[in-house]
Amino acid sequence: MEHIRKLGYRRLGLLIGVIALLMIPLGITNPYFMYVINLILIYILLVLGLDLIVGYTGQVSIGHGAFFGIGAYIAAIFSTKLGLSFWFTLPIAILATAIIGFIIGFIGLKLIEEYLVMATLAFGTIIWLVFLNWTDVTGGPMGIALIPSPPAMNFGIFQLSFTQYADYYPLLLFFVIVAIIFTKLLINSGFGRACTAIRDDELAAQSMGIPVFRTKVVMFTISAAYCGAAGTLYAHFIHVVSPETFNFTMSVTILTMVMIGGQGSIIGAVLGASLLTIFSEALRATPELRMLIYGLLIVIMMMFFPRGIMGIINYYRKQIEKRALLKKMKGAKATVDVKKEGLGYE
Amino acid sequence: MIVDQLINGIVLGSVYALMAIGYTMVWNVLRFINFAHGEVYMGGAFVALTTMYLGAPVWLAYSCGMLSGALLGYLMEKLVYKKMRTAPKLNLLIAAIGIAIVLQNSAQLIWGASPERLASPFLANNVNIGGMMVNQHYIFIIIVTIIVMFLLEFFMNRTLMGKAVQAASQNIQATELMGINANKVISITFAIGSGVGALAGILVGPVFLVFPTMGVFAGLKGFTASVMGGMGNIPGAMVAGLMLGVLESFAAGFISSGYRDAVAMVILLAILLLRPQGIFGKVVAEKV
Amino acid sequence: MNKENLTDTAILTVAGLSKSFGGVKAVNDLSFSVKKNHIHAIIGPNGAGKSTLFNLITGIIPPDQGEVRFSTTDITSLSSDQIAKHGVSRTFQNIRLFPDMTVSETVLIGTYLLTGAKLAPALLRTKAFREKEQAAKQRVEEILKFVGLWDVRDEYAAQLSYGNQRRVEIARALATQPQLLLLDEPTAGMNPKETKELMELFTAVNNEGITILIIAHDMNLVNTLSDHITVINFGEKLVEGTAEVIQKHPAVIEAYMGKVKVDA
Ligand SMILES: Nc1ncnc2c1ncn2[C@@H]1O[C@H](COP(=O)(O)OP(=O)(O)OP(=O)(O)O)[C@@H](O)[C@H]1O
Ligand SMILES: [Mg+2]
Repeated sequence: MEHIRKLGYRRLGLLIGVIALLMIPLGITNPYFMYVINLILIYILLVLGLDLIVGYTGQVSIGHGAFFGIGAYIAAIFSTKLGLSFWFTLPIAILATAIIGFIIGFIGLKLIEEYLVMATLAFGTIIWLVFLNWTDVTGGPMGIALIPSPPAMNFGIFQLSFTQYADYYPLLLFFVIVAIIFTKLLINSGFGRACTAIRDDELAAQSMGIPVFRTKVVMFTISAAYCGAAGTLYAHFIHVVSPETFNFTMSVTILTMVMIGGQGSIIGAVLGASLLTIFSEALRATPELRMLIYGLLIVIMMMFFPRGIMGIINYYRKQIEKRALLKKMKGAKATVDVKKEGLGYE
Repeated sequence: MIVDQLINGIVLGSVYALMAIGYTMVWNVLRFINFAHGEVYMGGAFVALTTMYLGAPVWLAYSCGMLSGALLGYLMEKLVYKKMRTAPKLNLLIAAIGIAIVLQNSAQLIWGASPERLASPFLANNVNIGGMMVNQHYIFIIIVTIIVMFLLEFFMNRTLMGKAVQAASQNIQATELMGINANKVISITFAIGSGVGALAGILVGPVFLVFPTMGVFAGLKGFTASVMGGMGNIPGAMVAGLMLGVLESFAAGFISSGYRDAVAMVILLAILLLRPQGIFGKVVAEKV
Repeated sequence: MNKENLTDTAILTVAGLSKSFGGVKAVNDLSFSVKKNHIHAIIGPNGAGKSTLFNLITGIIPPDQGEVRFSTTDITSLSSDQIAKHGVSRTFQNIRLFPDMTVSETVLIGTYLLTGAKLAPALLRTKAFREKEQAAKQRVEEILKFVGLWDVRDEYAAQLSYGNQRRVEIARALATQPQLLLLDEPTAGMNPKETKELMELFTAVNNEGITILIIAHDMNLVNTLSDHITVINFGEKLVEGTAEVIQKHPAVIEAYMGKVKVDA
């Protein structure tokens, strides 16, 4: 009974949260802010996707910007050349990035650690060169413009259109929430546990009956599909795609967001994507200085806060818990080990 | 035409070889890819450029560039990597990328984004080799590369410090047994690798110009060469660099120039998948 | 304790198994079989090739030659996850835990073969999925109680005492519901009390009908527990038999026992 009531409160809390999130555009009149918020949501999708393979499975990719690009280009090509609407380009893009992700994963995931990093870098660069040079299809360096917004949805009494930033926001929010739920369901299953076991000790995982390679490839495929979806949402939002968006820097940006937020955490993904996007937009006036500070921030975070923002949060939470526990036990000798959650390295 | 391409390939290859040395040496001691190595290449070239603007003679400007590259490598190790010895590899990798971002954008703030040509006393002259007119600066690049390779070979095999650097590739603690401090070995490795990388940037400065992002692709290629040669294998890296340069130069004749950079990436993938130990390496089994 | 006439079938048969590393013949033309329900010990000096044998049996490394049969199935060329699926589970000489997991999370990983990893049921949270998850949690609880780790289930496995870490490894292996359990020096580095407790655990596991193949240096353990002993040296089988036979064998005394006695 108690349990059910708790669950009910949680549901209620979530509902209120979602409604509050939906209200955001009402409070924001400046379209630029709306634009930044939308951008954050797209980055959250990307970071959630990359975190599946990096944070939960322990396989590092610095080529995921390419999957983002593939999703965006597919949306651009299919909508401008074949006239398909967003509702068709999205599933096509998800499927296509999943297939390409599967192929790349199948080839690359035999490699481990640094060698996998190098391979994903090579794949990402090759795909980027294709965007840049396959002019007939991708428009070359100019890219593809005039990508339409998703068509308006008619619900009889009211109409949802997606042409304004504020209109696009609920659509993005919907997909981010879907992605979060999907991630949660995935992680809390035999498959998700198998992934974390692989991350922690591949050999031990395999000895427990986990087909390591297959599991990695499946997760890589799903991870690519998230980025493909993000790409489509991006293309129909910005209306233009061009190669420089999807270069090595994009792959690095997503990976950095994963690391800064804290690997293997949904809240970490949201925090990493939000803070870095806000940060880089805030310093927009001085691009070089912005990137310089951005780089410095990355170095400092990696040196002193290797578990990212979630690491810091968990550390202080543990500290508070420990203090509470000590208080409760009073005289008794308490030994609570917080080493596990330490801020730095062991 | 073919000879032309061959010479172009060798020139490019010399640069890749010099870059590959930096990656391979660092891999040797720390088992990680220094993603900021391309920025050392760029930094050295810019310092040479500025020194020359200040009126220094070419040889002095080139040396200053090289030394500052070495210093840059030394500093990034001392200030960042050294503090991260026990960190997970992924953190180290991201930190290196962070350093690269910092250096690229510092260069852009200091020198601006537009490419500039580094002066060379040889660039204006051609030499006649068997009826072929070859730019003297190209010859200069090749000669300097050969000299550097011999010096490096001598250092690695004939000096105690060089031997310690080699021993470090087996086990960094082994250097302690030789009476040499492991940290010193790592510092020296970074300094030499970076100095040589900066030299590569300076050498191409008169041909391919100097600009803040010049290190990105040079870094990728140099790093491809180091994988081709077998990570940690210095002579392998040199040979592989030359091979990559020549291959790329010939491939450019067959495929559109836009895809030229893809050649190295395809080679990188092929090597990783088919011969991860490099063209010259042997397989080592991991003990379970 | 005469299990000999109860069951006489071999659950594991190793025939002509060889593996060399470079010039070192780690395992050399080795043949033996393990009978169902036995506790079968593998002994031999350091570097004799015992761990390599385990790695060969469990498919972690491929043999150069020879065959491994589990009951009647040829498992020689199977991967280690497939071998685990057939009912062979193991622990490692240097304990391999999952550094970021608590005790119960670690053991839950061992239920992978029970729950499977189908995506659609997981995403739809079907009834079958929930039932399997429930069964897995149930199994983890039973095993943790069985091995005596229930009280520390929420602690990080890597922070437990050495003896308890070993128990976690065993619990994780048991969660796969093996028919054959391979233990690589499970009592190395333990004090006499911990050793004794673990020995009791092994007997209990064996009484559940699980065959045990155990590598050990501790002769007291070997003599007390094992139904059958295989002695290997330089990758080859030296002798095999019951504890009484082995103790009296001159070659063993020379190659192994003598050394152990001096050590002890
Ligand atoms: N992956 C490997 N690569 C190279 N040599 C190996 C490898 N694995 C084992 N060896 C060698 O094979 C031989 C047998 O090793 P193994 O670990 O099987 O011995 P062991 O009987 O388990 O010894 P211990 O009692 O010390 O655990 C040793 O000489 C060892 O060095
Ligand atoms: Mg062993």
